[in-house]
Amino acid sequence: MSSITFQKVTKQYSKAGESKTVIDAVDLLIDDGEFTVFVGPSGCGKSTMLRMVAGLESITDGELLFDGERVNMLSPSERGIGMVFQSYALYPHMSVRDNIGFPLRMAGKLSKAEMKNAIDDVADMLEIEHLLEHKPGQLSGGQRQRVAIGRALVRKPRVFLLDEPLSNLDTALRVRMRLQLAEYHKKLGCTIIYVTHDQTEAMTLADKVVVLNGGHIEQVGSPRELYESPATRFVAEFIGSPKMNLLNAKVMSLSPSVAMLSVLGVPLSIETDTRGLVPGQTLSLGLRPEDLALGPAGGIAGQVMEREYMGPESLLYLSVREDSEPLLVRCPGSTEVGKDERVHVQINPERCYLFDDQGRAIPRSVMPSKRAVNSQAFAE
Amino acid sequence: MSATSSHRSFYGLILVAPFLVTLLVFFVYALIRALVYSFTDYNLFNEPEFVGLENFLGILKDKLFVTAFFNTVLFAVIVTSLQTLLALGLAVVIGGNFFGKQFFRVAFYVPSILSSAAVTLVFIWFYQNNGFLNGFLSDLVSHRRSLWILIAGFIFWWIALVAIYALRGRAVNWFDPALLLLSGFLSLLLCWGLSGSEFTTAEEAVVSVNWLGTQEYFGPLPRTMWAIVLQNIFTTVPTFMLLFLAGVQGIPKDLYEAATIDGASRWRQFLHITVPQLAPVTYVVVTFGVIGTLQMFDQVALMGEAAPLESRVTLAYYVYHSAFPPGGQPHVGIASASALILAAITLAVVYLQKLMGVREKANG
Repeated sequence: MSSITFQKVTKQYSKAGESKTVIDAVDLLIDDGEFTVFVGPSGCGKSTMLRMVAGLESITDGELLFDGERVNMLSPSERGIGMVFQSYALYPHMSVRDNIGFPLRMAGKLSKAEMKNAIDDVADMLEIEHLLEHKPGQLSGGQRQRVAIGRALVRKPRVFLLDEPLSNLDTALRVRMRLQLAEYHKKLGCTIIYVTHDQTEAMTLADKVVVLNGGHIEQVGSPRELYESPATRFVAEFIGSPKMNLLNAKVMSLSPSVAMLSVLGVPLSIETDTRGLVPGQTLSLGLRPEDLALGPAGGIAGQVMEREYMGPESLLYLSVREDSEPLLVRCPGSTEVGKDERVHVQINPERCYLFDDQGRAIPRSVMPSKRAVNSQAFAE
Repeated sequence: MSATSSHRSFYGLILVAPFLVTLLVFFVYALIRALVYSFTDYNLFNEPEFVGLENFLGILKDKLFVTAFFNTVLFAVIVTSLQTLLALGLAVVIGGNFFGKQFFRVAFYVPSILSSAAVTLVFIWFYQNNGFLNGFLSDLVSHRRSLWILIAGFIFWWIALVAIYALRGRAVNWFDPALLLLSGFLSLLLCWGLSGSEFTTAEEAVVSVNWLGTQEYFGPLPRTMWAIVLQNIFTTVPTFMLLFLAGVQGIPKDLYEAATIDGASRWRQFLHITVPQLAPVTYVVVTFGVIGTLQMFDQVALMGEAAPLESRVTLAYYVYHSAFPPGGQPHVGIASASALILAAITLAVVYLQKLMGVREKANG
């Protein structure tokens, strides 16, 4: 168990004289015992970050600290980490027992009996005692996954690293393993770094989510913070499923705390910090599908292009203007709307997000906590 | 059987026919003929007459056969072990990432594209009394002072270069061929710089070892056989190295990374991952090696008069020698009998190897 600190950590690859920066001076603090998820699209550098923590990738510049101690030059085995690979990387020619026992055997500090006890303990926790004499080739995906976790845990690591561990499992198993992982974390209380491209995994598992994009951190926060107050347009789009609608909004007039906008020709007044805004400027207005509601007249008019019925809810794809993306609206499954029907969408001014042309969020005067209360009221 | 399926099996037969015909003519028929002749006194010109087990008993009493038997078995054991280890080692080294690996891959492979005859001729010249090897050894002994400086210089530069890299924060493999070459070159420069000084005074010495034309033994094998061991390994290692290289490149990188995290050193990764993962390739290499060495013929035959028969004879050569003894009458019966014994030994060894658990599958 330990805390991990990144101080201006940079990773560059150089090939044929050209160097490419994949991680750009990242600062990050991961607290002791925290379940942290690195999430982002492929190529954002999340795996590289994890591999630098593991010691599989060298650090070009900056400091990596475990409990305040510099580990840049320590070998992976000296760092006291356990790691689960996406492919599991089990040793195919060894039995499950030998796989789990391998790190102990390499360390060579325990007697045979102690080793057996350690392996049995881990196998017991992961419920794989009956598989100990099998070879990895004879196991199912979920069982292999647990063996890989067992091998990573047997040496009681300070930091437990998981690289896309669930991506090779089917959906049902993934949901089960997700719960299981959360349970292991509670039981062991160790610091976990988990890499995934799947925002649902990030949201469900993490104490702290680190959203990465193009080698830098977009935002760090709890799942709720990311969902409710995304710092950038990228985070707003990445977190949440189905993803947030983004519409162009033109600033019509400004007062100190209220901006009058025009969205698709519909006027909208929003309480916001108006410093830095100028009339005539175009902003991005973010609207989550679940924050939109169908209403009588007024609001944005659109035609239902497609309706996806999913039982408790339906997703409506509305065509609002010929040249723009369809607007997504999430409404109760029982809503009676047919294809091609013309509908009106109400925008709740308290439940929208504004981003400037750099993709930065414009601070809202409505605080997340207040919004939480509001959303409850809205649900009732 | 429907019309289409008989049609299909007709075409199937046509497609396998070339193989079947050669198998029948050159293997099944030849084997049966050899079996029949092995119980007769056939000498190419007479009417074969049944002589029972006389050929087999005669062979077992023949001193030349016993010599050939031990030469062959020991040759097979020594060459197969050495070439397998060497091929594996080379494959692991050139399978890694280092400067100039393309060059080394080609350089290491070149010996296997040379013809056996050419290599043997080169080696005969190499082993001659006043040949290259003796001359080279004489030079080495004469210039032993320079040599010591060269070796000491090499070790010095080697450590120094690794240290320089380490101080600049760059990980470097001790056995990086480019590094070794550079150390060698620098140490040569050192020697050249010291030439003419009293550190490098030569003392004339002549080494004159009789490598081929002798019946002396070195360890379990005649000295001549050792010479053939060396040249055979030289020609076979590259091919086996290529097989191992393909195997090495097929091992997932993840396994090595997992082992690194589990605290396994490079050597232990080799032992616990590379070697077991290469088990199927090793099986192929050892099988080919055993069969190839038990059948050793061409390089022995080409040695010809350069070495006495007893110190180079192998079972395959014994078969040939019995069938066509120089100046004597052909003993086809004896040749057939000894060929059958050789075939039986080959089969037995390969089967034994399978039984002993040299597995065909890595992950079974």
